[in-house]
Formats: sequence, structure tokens, C-alpha cells
Amino acid sequence: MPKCPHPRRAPSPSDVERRLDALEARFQGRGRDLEELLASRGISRRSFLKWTSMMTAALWLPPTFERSVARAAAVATRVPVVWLHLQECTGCTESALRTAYPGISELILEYLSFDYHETIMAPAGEAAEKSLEDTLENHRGAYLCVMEGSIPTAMDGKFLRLGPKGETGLSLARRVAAGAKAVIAIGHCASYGGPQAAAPNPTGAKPVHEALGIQTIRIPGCPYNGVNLVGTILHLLLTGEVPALVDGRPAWAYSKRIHDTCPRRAHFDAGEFVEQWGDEGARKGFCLYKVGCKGPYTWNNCNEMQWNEAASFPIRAGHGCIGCSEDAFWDDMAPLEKPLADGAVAIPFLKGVEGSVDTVGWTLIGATAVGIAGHAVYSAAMKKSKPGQDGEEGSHGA
Amino acid sequence: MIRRVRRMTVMMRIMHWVLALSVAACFVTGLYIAKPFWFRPAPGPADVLVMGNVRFVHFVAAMLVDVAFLSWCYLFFFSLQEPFVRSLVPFRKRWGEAWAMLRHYFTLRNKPPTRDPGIDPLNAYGFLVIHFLVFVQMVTGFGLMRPTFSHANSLLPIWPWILEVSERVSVAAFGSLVAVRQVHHLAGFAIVALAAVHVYLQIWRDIFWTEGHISVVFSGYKYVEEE
Ligand code: SF4
Repeated sequence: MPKCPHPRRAPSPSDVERRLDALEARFQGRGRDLEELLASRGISRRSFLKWTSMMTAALWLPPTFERSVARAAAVATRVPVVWLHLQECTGCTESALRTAYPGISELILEYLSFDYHETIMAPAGEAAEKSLEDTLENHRGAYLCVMEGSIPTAMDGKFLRLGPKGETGLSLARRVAAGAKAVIAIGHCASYGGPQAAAPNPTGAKPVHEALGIQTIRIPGCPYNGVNLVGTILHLLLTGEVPALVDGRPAWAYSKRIHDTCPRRAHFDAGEFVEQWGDEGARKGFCLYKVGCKGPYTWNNCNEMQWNEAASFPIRAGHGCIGCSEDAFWDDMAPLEKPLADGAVAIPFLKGVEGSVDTVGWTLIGATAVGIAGHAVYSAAMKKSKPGQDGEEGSHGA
Repeated sequence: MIRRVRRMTVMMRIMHWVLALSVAACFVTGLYIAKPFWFRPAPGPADVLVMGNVRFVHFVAAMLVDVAFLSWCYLFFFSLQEPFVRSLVPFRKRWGEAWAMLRHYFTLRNKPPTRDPGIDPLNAYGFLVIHFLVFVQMVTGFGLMRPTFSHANSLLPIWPWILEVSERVSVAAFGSLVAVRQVHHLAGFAIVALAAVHVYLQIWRDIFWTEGHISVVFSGYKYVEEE
């Protein structure tokens, strides 16, 4: 379970350079050329260098690595990637692809060398299948596997069948994961199971690491933030290693509590809260705790990286954090727009009955008060009806 | 003849009050933290950290609870005057005594003898439950302060391992940080409910036994009439 991570030692620069040389040689000519892509979108060299500085810092690498990060970014669009869509809504893919003004991270994501990606690949039918099989064979041990969505395991995984042969998601995922350099679980579903794993979980949906019993790098979020995927890929390319993980999530991205870095935190400490959507507090940008912000229980880097080219992110836009990067948030954090004290908990000994912790707590206090009052009245009545008894009986024991 | 019976040593009384006051403070501040009920309309830039201060009180009171709890644990076994553990073992016999006391509360007859030294077993078992709940609060409370990599945590430099151990234990026991948070919330109510029963029973004893029971917690003595 969670542990305060200690960053690994920075990788040795000469190792990194050697690794990049090898990767460049191996994947030359594959995919798209990053420089061309940047030029075609009118992104200047200067913006690109700013972006590399940002990524280097985000990955906890010293500034001397900026050049290597730039090289790794260029390799990133060439390394073969197999992207599987399992039990999911494709929201993660959409969020990366549908940006009106893609930033550099989104651009790299969009032009990763997808050998197989059901949403955006050019080939169809037999050709698509062949492309997948070829990658599994030719790039065994070198391709990256990105899995989006949970894996249903009930009924032998028959809730999810894919492709012309009706292969189950479970078997496909197992096959692809077996030869991958690393398996990256994208979004809440692949990382923790998502809404389909919420109680009662009829399809037996499990996150990838549980369904396959392998280590994955989890990039949770609903959807995930593209920066976190690109950063993780860069880290893999630079060091050939899985980054330091907390709860299976890259520590560089997921080791800060949203609440601790929140721009509204001063209002929390001051006791200034939005009481209702659209009230004066909302206009003044007060803390969203009372309208259900789950920032205090959530670890992610939304505050620093933000979304859509750092345009904004939920808390800044005025809605509380829903805790989408945490395990079982669909069950635990509901209702999403109420504080946890109003969240439903199963009442002990009353199967199937739910109430908020506050209701349960105050009921307990109320029941105690009633019990005390009852006993007091009862004792008084007893004493009245049999006066003197307690005194006499009581004295001889002492 | 009236005999003076010593019931609580000075240390026990100090611990009792430290615990009582800090638990009360924790409960009230905890209610605010869970659901801030008092809204301070800001006249300008915030100059009073309402939540910040409430949390400060909650944490300081919690630390006092910890200290009182740990000293209680020590005295439970090693008090020179009267280790509480003697009120609980031998188990069979004490269980019988506790049952007799419970019957007495409902029949008002056959008052069990005043133990001297030591407290009556029913009370002792009750305290054990309350202290167990206090222990749960300590572990879940530290667990909720889960260290973050930003080290934005005042306890981390002082007592790093306790946070990590508590977090692991409580998350393993209850499933997730949110569940830990809910348990922390509920256990608070349970402690207050038990404390209410405790206070009521002391008042009840004072009235029905006429032994000056309430003064035990202030002076350490009660007064038993002997023939
Ligand atoms: S808006 Fe949420 S994360 Fe930000 S200070 Fe308030 S409770 Fe914490």
C-alpha cells in the first residue's frame, strides 16, 4: 500500500544517451517525424524546448536531461504501441484526440505509432488483425501496450468479445501483455475497475493488474491526463525502467494530495465555502468542500499540470474534485456533490440499509439518550415503589 | 461509621480529565471539519483561519488523547497503586461480578461490594471498549494524515513512521482511505455515546448509592457507610 516514495537516483546520462541511440536506430523510419509534426502545427522550436523543460522537471530529472527528453519525445512517435480497448467508454481516447488546440503532449499522443488502436487505426478487418499479429511477433519485448478499460472476468470473460474471431478481452489482453515492454493501464477502469466494477459488479470487471496478475503502470483518472501518459512513456524510453510507483501509479504524477496544492485551499483554511451552486461564495471562488469536493482524499497532479493546455481543471472551473484517480471512487466518493459525511455507508447489522455516517452517528447518540432517559425514569419509579431498599442492601457489601 | 475509600490516584484523575476534555474538543471540532456548519462571510481578504484553527485544535487535542491513552496503557499493567488489569482478571470471576452489577442497575437490589482497591468490572470492561475506540481513532486519524510527497504535513518531520504504519494498517483493515474516514467519523459518535452512558452511570450511582460517588473524579475518594 501507499508509501512515501523516495525518488530513485537520476539515471546516468551516458546510459540514457546509449539507450536513445539504440532506440533511434531500431525504429528509424517508423511512425511520424516529430519535428515535421511540430512544424505542421506551427509549434515553434522555442515552445518545444519550454515543453521539454517542463517535462524534465515533472519527471524529477535534473535540467541536464532536457536534451535527452527532447530526443526521447522524438523517439516516442516511433516506438510501436498496441492500444487495447477493453470494457470502457473510449472517453480516455476521446479526451486525448478531441483537443481543439493540441498541446505538445496531446500531439505526441495523437501521433504515437499505433500499430493497433481500434478507434483510430487505418486498417480494418483482416488487415487490422494482421497488423496486431505482426507487431506482437516482430517487436516482441519492445512494443508498449496501453490498455484502456477494465477486463470482465465473470463467465470466463465472455462479457467482452472482440474482433472477427470473437476473442475474449481477457485472452487478447493476456496475449498482448505477454510480449510487451511495459503495460500501461489508462484511466480509472484499467487502473481500478471503473464504474463497471462498482457494486454489484455483474460482469466481474477487474482492473488489468488484477485480471492478468501482472504489474501495470496505472495512469488513473476519468479521463486520465495526457501529460501523465506521455511523461510515463518518456520515462520508459529514457531509463528502460518503470518509474517509481505509489499504489501502482507513477510517483512523479500521483504523489500529491489535490487538497494540499489546491488554489482554493486558502478559502478552506479560512472556513469560506461554497454553500450552493451559484451563490456568492461560488462567485468569489471559495472552497468547494461543502458541495462535495473529494480533493482531500485524492492524489493527482491536476493542480500543477491542469488540462487542455493548462487552460483549467475541474476545481478551478468551479466543480469539486470527484476523486477519479482513487480506487473504487464510484462506490466510495458518491454522492459526488455532497461531502463524505453525507455519503451512504452500509449500516452494520441491517443488511442492505444505507444511511449517511452523520445519520448513523446521531441515531446512535439519540438511542443512547433515549436509553439513559428510560433507565432514569425506571430507576426513579423503582425507588419510589420500594423505598429504602437500595440503601440497606447497598451498605452491607462495602 | 463512614469509611473513606480511595478510588482514583492523582495520575488517574489527571488522565481522566485530559482525556475527557480533549475527546470532547475532538468531537466538536471533528463535526466542524466533516461538515463546516459555521459560515463566516468574508468582509475582505481572509484574516481569520476558521477551519485552520479548528483543525489545529483537533490535532492538538488528538495529540493529548494519544499521550493520555499511552499513559493509560502503561498504568493498565504497571500502576504501582492499582493496575486496572486486576479489575479484569481472573476473567471468569470478574465477568460474574460485571453481570451482578448489570443486574443491580435494573433491579436496584443486591449492590455488589465496593472493590478496594480497583474499580468494578462492569465499569472496567466499559472503559476497555471506550479505550479501544480511542485507539481506533488514533490509528485512523494518523492514517488520514497520510504523508504526501510534497511533505505538506506538520507531523511528518516529527513522527514519520507512525503515519505510514497507521495508514497501512487502517487502509488494510477498512479497504480504502474513504472507508477509514467514515470509520473515524462513526467511532467518534460511538465514543461520545459511551461517554454519555458513563457520565449518567456516575450520576446514577451518586444518587442511588449515596456514597459521594461524583467526588471520586475530583478528590479521588468516595465514602462508604459501614456497620
Ligand atoms: S476545493 Fe477541494 S481540494 Fe480545494 S481546498 Fe477545497 S476541499 Fe480542498
